[in-house]
Amino acid sequence: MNTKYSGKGVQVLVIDVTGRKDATQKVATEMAYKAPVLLDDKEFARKAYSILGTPTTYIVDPSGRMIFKHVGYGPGMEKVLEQEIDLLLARKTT
Amino acid sequence: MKSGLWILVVVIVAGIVVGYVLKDRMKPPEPGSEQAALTSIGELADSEAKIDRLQGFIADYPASELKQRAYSMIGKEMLDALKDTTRFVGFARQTIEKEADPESKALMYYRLYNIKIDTRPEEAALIGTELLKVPIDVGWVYNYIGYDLAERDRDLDLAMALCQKSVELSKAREDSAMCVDSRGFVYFKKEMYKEAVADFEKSVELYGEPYEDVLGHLADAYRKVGDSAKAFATYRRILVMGEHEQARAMVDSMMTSERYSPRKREMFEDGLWQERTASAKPAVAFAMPTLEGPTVSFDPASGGIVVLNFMSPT
Repeated sequence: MNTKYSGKGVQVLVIDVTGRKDATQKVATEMAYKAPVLLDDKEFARKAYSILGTPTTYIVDPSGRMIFKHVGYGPGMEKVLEQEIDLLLARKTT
Repeated sequence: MKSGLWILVVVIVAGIVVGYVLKDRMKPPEPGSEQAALTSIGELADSEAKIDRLQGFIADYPASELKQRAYSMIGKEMLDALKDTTRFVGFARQTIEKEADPESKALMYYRLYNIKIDTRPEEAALIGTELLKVPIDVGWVYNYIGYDLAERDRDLDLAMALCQKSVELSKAREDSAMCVDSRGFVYFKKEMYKEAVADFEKSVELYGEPYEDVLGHLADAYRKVGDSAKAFATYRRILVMGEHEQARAMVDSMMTSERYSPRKREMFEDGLWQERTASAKPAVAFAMPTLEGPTVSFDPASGGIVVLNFMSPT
């Protein structure tokens, strides 16, 4: 997704809520993440973003609001996120 | 309900179970030697050495909060690295017999159930029956197995008993919310739609924050009892949180059958967008170290679109 929207002001950040570097490194390598992987070793996400289960995905709009939220991951999720980004990009220009 | 309509849920429930297990892991690492010992074991390359040292760790620190993680690591090593199911089943059985810690036992039952359901699904119910007889004071494992059986349309009476038990065992509000939703899902599968509606409504209330999959269950149940106005409003609530393939399809088909004009559809979209922006909470800035090392910061005031993906490695 990072590649598709590069140059359009869309950034992807992956945050590991466990802050466990060893295990996360393994997953990041296997999945060939292109986005930076941040290590949350101070439980920040759970407190400030009330993360109940993982994965949880938020899309933050240009005004700094969490406009879309998804808990869980399933087939079609990538498509949904792309739809939402396209919606935001379209709203931005109109 | 269309089969597979809410297929995401299995993934999510698994995610929640993981989240549950992680709650303990997410406690700040203890400064003592336990964390260091476990980390150094995790770095070993040889599976046998790892298993051996992990068993040593459990023996050395019988009261450690990290014990469950050690058990989990042994399971991973035997099943994923060595692919020796027979050995793991033996180990799990031994642990259930000897271990006093209920969370560690629950982890073993969770693994045993998953092995059975993948290899001999007709025997998977036995694990659930056994859990009811034991019983252990860990709600999530009852919830997981009960929901999974229902999702597969298997042993619905047992699934109901397991979910009922998980509701009784759940203490925290968010755990109750999840278990009541699962029980509602079993009612739904048993075609007891009124009971399903009651449980899903209760779950939505317990969660407080809207939760797309529980709302999806509730909307489906409203349709089954013939309350299409509430069903439509509930699918719409999902869309307020974000785009959703099934909720979008349902809303579309309901608008079509209500003969919505293009103008009325446009008004629906505008209203939806307004509610999205009005209900969206401001994001909080943060800075964290990355896998590569350097700290990366996120600033919601930067004016761009940012996808924040909170995950955990399992």
